[in-house]
Amino acid sequence: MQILGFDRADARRLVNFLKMGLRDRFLGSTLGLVWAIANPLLMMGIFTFVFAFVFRSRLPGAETSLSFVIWLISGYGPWLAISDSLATSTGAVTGNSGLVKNLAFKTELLPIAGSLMGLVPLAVSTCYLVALLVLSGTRPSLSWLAILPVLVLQFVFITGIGLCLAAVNVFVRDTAMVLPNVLMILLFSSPIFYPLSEFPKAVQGVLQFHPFHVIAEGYRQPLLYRAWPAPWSLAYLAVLSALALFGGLVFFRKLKGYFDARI
Amino acid sequence: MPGSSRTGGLLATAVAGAAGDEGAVARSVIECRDLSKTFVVLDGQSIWRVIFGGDSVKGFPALRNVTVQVRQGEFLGVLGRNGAGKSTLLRTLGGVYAPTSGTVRVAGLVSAIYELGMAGNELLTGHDFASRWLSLHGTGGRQINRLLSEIAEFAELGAYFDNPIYTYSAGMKARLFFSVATSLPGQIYLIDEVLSVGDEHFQTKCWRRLRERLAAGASGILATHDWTAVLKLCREACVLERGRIVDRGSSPAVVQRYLGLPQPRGDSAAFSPHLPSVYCALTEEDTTLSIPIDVKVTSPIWFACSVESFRQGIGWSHLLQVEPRPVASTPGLYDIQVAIPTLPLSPGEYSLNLFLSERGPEGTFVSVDVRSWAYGNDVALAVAGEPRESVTILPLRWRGRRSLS
Amino acid sequence: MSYRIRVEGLTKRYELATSRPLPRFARPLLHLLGVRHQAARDVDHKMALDDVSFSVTEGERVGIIGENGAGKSTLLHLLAGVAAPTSGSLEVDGRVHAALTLGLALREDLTGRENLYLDAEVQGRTRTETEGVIDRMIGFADLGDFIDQPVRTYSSGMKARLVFTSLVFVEPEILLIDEMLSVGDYWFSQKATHAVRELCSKGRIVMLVSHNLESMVSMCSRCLWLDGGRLVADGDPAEITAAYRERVRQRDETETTAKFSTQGQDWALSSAVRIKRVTVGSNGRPGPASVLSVGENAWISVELSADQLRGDHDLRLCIERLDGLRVTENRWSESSGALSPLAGQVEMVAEVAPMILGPGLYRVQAELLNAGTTVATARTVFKVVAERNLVGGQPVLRVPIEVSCRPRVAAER
Repeated sequence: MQILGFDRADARRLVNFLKMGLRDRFLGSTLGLVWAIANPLLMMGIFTFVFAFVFRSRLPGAETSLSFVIWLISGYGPWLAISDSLATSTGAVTGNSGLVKNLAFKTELLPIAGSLMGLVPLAVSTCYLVALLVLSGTRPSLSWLAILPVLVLQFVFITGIGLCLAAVNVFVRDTAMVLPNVLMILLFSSPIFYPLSEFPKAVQGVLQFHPFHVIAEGYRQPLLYRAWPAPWSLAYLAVLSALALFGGLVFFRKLKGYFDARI
Repeated sequence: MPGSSRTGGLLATAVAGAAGDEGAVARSVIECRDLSKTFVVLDGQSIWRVIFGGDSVKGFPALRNVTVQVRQGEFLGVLGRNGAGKSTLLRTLGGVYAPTSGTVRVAGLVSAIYELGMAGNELLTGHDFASRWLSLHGTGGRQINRLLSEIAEFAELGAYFDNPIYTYSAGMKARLFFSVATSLPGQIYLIDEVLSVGDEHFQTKCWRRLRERLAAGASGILATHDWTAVLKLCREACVLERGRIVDRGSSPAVVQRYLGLPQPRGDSAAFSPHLPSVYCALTEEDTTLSIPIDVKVTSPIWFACSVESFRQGIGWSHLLQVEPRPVASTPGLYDIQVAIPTLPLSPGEYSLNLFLSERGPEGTFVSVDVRSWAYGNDVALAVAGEPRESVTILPLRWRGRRSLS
Repeated sequence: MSYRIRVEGLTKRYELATSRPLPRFARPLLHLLGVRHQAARDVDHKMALDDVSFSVTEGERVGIIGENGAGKSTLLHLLAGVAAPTSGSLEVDGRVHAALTLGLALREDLTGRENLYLDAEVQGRTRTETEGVIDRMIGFADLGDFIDQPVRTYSSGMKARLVFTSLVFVEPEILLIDEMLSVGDYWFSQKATHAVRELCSKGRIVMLVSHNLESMVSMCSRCLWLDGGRLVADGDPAEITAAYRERVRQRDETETTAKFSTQGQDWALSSAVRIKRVTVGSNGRPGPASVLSVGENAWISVELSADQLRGDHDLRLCIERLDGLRVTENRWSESSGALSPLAGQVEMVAEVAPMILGPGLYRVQAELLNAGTTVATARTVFKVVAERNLVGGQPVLRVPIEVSCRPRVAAER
């Protein structure tokens, strides 16, 4: 049986690559595992401090800074996962040249595994978020599970983009270096640190369709407001993700025949 | 019968099992037809052309129309200098590179050693590296545990097995890698240049392991510049030059041409042009071989001969041998009679090697005419009879029994 | 200026970290990810070099041989100044160029040609100097069209050629090469030998480590043999490589012989029917023997002990050589009819006349079969010796072959 050109053996191989990636990244050094947890917490802690205590931001209509922090983390957590996924998948092929040159396998699996590595920071930030929610008195509810479809779509979308970036990076090595800057721009241009309403009216209409906004809202609605995300936004995200994944696979597969001389 | 034609490719051994089905032609387990591989070096600009335009980009042809076939139980030698395309051929056959054109067919699980480099993270311990390599090649957890102790033992790393690879010397890395890569009982081996690395002791071990795998029915390709390895392992060989196959045939003949070795040609004596290409005999019967020679000088001509067979992984073994002895010293036509009592060879085909020489300075022998597998012109000795499991047959007779109690 | 190296009492000790097991609480999770051990604190010591002393004067071509782990690379690393000795003194007069790890000096993105230029620049040559020799360098490397392809696409043999080429043309005062030459092919070794000789004729020093003993003999004027960190021999390459080879061969032979002799055990399916023992001997001497001479008449005796033997039984003898070659196989039923009925202690004797096996170590195994299945086995090992070896090789069998020569009768009409 084949899905998107992958069969069961490929699925097993993907799991292997994922285990490899996790092991190398987090267990290679003594602090590795600790860092996997500490790094996201540190970032979120810094932002919490800056926005809640230094700027004293508040959500329109809310009283405490805690609710703002919760709002912030619920958007920033997925963002961390996204930027981690993109960074890892971009370098997935070039960083594993030994494997590519010596093992016969579908090279697409490497960026896909790289993208899935973003699950680790996502898990960490979600735990942190849940802790904050409980702290603020919100009881856990079944509606929280509504983040699952968004989670899946997020990874599908990012995997598609990761595949494109991974392929381009083989030929234009600067891609991996430029990526952090691009991500930084995207971060500050999306409604993660500040709600949509703070943007100029003219831009708001367009920004509503910003994929990262849609994803962030997909987490925020269920976790903060116990509501399902708007159906249209899920549909929109689904279409976008499918396009990204198909496009990414086609692009990667077209170029992978030329990797040999560059790896 | 004199004059009967020789089959191409050299001689079959009578090793157990191989003589099995004489009628059926062994299937090919590795096959490629018209295989070509071109490397295109793309940079920033040309990738856009490729994405939007198609394949109008200039490339470097590493392989050109290569057609190769390897049968079950055989090893093919691919000789060539550095840069001839041997690694590319192996990797393309192994599926790491996709061919630019042509077809590749490999029937079975491939164990490939493309290079002795460590394809991975050097922070891993030898143990974890082996474990990772095995699971990447589709081995399940339980089998991995079983194989790991074998790997550790073969590699002779001792306590180092649980240390990170960056602490290993080059030799240790090579041992680890070879041990891991040949641990799986794969049926098809693609081996690239690895047998020339490492000290004598390690090389002996590698060869022994290869022979074990061969005895279990492995097939494969050995790509190397080391012709001695090809002679030991492969019955057939081919030569790659700049991506093309320029020579193929039985490995001794190919090697001889590859090295450009001249065949001894003397004027003092020669084997007669009437020399048969096949001698027939019956197993366990008294056999006399009649070998016609022409002598042209009045100095003593010496004759020696041997009956040999090819054992895969070991090379050529002498089964019977006649030491050099003088046979004639006046010009004329002669027949040398070689009488072997109770021919102790099992039915099969063997290589009969004949040597005519003269005495040189300080007791050496100077070859005058040679018929030998080393020059690709040896004579066949076909022994008929009931097939046996062993190559040789000792004159063993049961004398009877007696009661002790 | 004369170049030289002098080494006195050089010793290098390494610390070996051995691993520890993982913390218990995390074990299941870590096992899942494939982690079994943690690199750790417990330290062990290894003497990589132990009190090595020698000196090298200009013009010498020195080869270093030894088994894996004998300290060869360590010695080169110390001479190159990459590592420091634990004790002892090291004097190196002259500029050292070392090729210790293949490919480290190469930029993978650049072509071979560009790498040659770059390397020359790094060595301090001007562009015009390099221009003058670049064609000769490319000719020496002999990489064909690959010279203008990125080094990334090179095989290890090709990288070795490129690195060696740039090393040779730099004309180092002291050149150290670690195992790089083994990846080159036959023609390259020829060139390398020639180049090394030329360099040394100008007074330079070359020290190289290689496992390729033939190239060692052709390339070097002197050979050092390191074993377990100690210098055990220093002198003529031909003699020392021969001795080294002999030592390795002997040791492997002892190992294999020991394994061969003790492999397997006598076995019986039930105690009612078993083979008591298998022995060999020769007609000339009474009793069993473990050494036979080529050409004598020998016998093999199989002693059975059976309460009652009925049915379709057979006795099979197999003789195998040390290297696994099966030299003969024989069944009782082929020549002597049925084995059973049989009761009590019985001895079956086979004669091998003459014993045509060549010198070597052999194992004879007797198997008692019942309707094709093995019910008991026994084995013994024996050696065959000869007074002298035959000229031209060691055949498996030593058969008394008669050779005569007569003039050919005139052709038929």
